[in-house]
Amino acid sequence: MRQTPNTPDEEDALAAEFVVGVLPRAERPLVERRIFRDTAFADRVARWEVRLAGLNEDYGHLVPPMGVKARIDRRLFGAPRSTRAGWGWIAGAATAVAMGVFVLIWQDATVTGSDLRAALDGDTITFAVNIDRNRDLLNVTPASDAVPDGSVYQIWLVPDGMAPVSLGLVTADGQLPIGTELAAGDTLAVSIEPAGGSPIGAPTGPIIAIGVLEDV
Amino acid sequence: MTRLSPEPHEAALDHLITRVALHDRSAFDTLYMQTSGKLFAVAMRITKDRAEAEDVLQEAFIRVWQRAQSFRPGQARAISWLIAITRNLAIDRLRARVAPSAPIELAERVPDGQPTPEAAAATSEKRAQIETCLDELEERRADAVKSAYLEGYSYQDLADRYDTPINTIRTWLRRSLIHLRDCLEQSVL
Repeated sequence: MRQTPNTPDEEDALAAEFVVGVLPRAERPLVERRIFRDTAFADRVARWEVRLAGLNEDYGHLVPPMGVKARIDRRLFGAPRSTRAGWGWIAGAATAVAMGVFVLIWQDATVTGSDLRAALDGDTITFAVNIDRNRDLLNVTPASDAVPDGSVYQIWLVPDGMAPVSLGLVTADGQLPIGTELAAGDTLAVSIEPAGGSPIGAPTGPIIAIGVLEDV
Repeated sequence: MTRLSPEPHEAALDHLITRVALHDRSAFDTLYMQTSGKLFAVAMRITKDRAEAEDVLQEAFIRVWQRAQSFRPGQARAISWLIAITRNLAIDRLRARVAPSAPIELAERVPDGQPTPEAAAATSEKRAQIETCLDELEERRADAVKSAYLEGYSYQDLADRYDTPINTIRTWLRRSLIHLRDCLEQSVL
């Protein structure tokens, strides 16, 4: 590989060469390693992926042969495709129970007497959500308050087939006024965002927990 | 959700990927159903080999399952993110081939699918914008950028194709890409 480029244009040209895919075999892993350890460079690569995405339309569609999905499932899960819906949720709930947090929160949720509730499960955290009878206050409690430094939890309504709608930031007292109509069956999610919340009105950080509102 | 539409709603895909990030297997099944046709077309176009394209598709979905948490819904379109993963795997595989690839002229033509009219209409704006900017480049440079992206040509392939030294190709392709960037940024403003 040539010397580490310095000017922004040289950096951008290298990112573009990687995205377009023209680099020789020996250079691609070097650039890949840079993407991993250099976030500024990774951003350049991501911007090129967006810039050139218009060309993706030229690829068309081609139905893959039967059997590929079964092979994927065997590799990932050791068994052909399961028909059990929501397997992940059962596993998530089991994990939460194992952590001892789920049951505690659930009990806490029932004693407040709110008329909607949800347990938002993730791999590492669970949020209990309660909504009062008048639907004007949302109460959200994380199972741990270990939010990363300089970040906040932001809670979202995720309507089917539409962009997520922010419901606000999870504050210390856990109370949020509700400006959106919410009902049983609605999906809520929590993402990690920079202080002050997502600057673009859509989640920018990882979604760490998700769950569905239900009637108490 | 059992939609088989070739261009699923973007926000619906975001939603599916965030569920996959939490290891929801039924969301993974739906995501495969909705996007495997596009991703397999990408893999075929680049590898031009059915068995290799199947392997690429398999690896791509394994990676999606493992790395869905790194997807940022606000920053990239879901389908672009999925295609980027697939293209990278396909190109890596292409470069790893011991034998040189088949001459470009003889390469198997993969038939384009038939995008639905509404899909074609919904997507044409971004495509048109890139075409306008490619038109500002000298014709064979635009052709090189486009074919390298779509077919996965390396600098060596382009050098052979245009019968030009590889360093010359590299210099003008890099310049062309920067020009393309400037043009695309301008058209956004």
